Amino acid sequence: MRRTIVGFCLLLSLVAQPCSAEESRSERISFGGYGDIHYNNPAIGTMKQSAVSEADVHRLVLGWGYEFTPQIRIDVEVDYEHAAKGIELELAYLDYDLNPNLTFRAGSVLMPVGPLNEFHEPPLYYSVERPYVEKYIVPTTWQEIGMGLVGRSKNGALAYRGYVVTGLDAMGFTGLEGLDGGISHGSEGKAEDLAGVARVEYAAVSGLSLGVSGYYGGADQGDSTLKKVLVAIGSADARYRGHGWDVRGAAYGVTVDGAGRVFSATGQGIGKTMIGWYGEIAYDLLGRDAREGGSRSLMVFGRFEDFDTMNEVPSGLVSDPSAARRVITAGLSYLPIEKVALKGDFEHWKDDTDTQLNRFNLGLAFRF
Amino acid sequence: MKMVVAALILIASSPAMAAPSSAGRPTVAAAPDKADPPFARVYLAVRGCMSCSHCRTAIRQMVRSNAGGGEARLGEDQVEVRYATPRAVPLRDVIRSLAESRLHDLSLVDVLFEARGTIGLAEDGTATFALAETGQSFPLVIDRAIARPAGGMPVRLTAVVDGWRKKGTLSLSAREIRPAG
Repeated sequence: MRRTIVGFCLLLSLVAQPCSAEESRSERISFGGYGDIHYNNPAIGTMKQSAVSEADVHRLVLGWGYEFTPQIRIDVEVDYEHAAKGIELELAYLDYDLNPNLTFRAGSVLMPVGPLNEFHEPPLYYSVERPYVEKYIVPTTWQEIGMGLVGRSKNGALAYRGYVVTGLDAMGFTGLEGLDGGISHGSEGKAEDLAGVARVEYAAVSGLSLGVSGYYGGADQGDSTLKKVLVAIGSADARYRGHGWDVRGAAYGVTVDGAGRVFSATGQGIGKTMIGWYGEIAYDLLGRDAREGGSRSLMVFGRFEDFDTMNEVPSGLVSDPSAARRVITAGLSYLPIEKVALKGDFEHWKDDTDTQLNRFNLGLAFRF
Repeated sequence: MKMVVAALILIASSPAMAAPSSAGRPTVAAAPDKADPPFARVYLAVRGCMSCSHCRTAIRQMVRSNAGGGEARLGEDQVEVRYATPRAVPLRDVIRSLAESRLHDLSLVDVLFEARGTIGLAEDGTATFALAETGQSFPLVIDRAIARPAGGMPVRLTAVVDGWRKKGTLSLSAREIRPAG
């Protein structure tokens, strides 16, 4: 009997204890996510006007953060792509503040290349689909396992990030999709080659930000047939936001040293150089400015993109003219609150074979 | 705006934050806290990107580097800067870190300040809040609906911070005054 009472008391104490612990834990946990649902007519990834239309829960990303101490935290995001048909670890890294301005980061990190790869939540861009340059030239969403530093000046104007990460795998490169097939996504990725990546952002004046990014690393991953493959990426971008206007642009250049050996090994002709740029101008018809206390936006926007994943090819190969593409996108994005967007746009594609395509898109995007 | 202030006061008074337990109408509460709250806290209500980990890191760095030793904790649409022990609170710098931030998708909406100290009452009816053990003080406005404590009595004040939008002198508008042990 006494044992039973002691056992009951012990059980009570076990039940009671988590209550106070739970309060503390709830303060340390953060939860967020984002997603978007698309209708594309015709479907994405085709240049055939007769292709069928498609509706897709493109992304649902759920993320958690846990604060071990105010200086040590972990963040994780899981991406359920295409109605959870494909599951991908978006990011999983530990942040350790070395001082108030400098944080050490290690884990599966988003590559700080260009303005969109790290900040890719759908309400943050106005089109239904991400800019295509950010898909074909920078393989957004691009994450690698690595470590590095995240810093910011005291006044916040200058921000920088630099990591050493696992390199790309050139065996996955293709002529039309560029580097996309060479990402490990942190999933049993080859780690024979490393790469360095860095980005610097400078907010010159309120509303204007400038950024440059660089990436350099091996991509042969120890494959003897490739010998040595090196990939270098450079980018510059600028954005101005104010008085209802949002104007941005980005330009990228990619070189693949060893593209000929990739062709020899895989039979896949890939670009020795790839280039891409885009410019976008948007205006808020409702005149909201977040700093003036508004809540709704109706953005009308237009964007021009020009990219070529086979800008230059190794000697002996002929560039595929369908790799040189230009896209004009125009449409509307209505944000009843800044975390939700209803979008509609129209795309006009043209490549160097003179093939043209018109696409109509609808989208619902959210983040929380 | 009033809703934001009310929400901030609710946050400040939630048990999870170990702060005073009453909210809504301004009162002079008497119930003692079960857990000791920190010496001072600044609550910054923000609007914009707080969901992605990159923005959260950026916000944390900007606030902490201007907080004079305060710890920053991010919640949903708010940043709490916590001072565990008595020290001067660089309130203007903390506010400026987000009010004048150059992050595209972030704006500061309102600021609430909570701290332990004493209230000085002048003959002309003006009041001042002095933080305990620091010598730091702020002009204080006390609404008639709030009972004024005896001058010099240790209190825990929860107040809305005014004046930062126009980059002028910061002043406090009392929302709650509680006796402090």
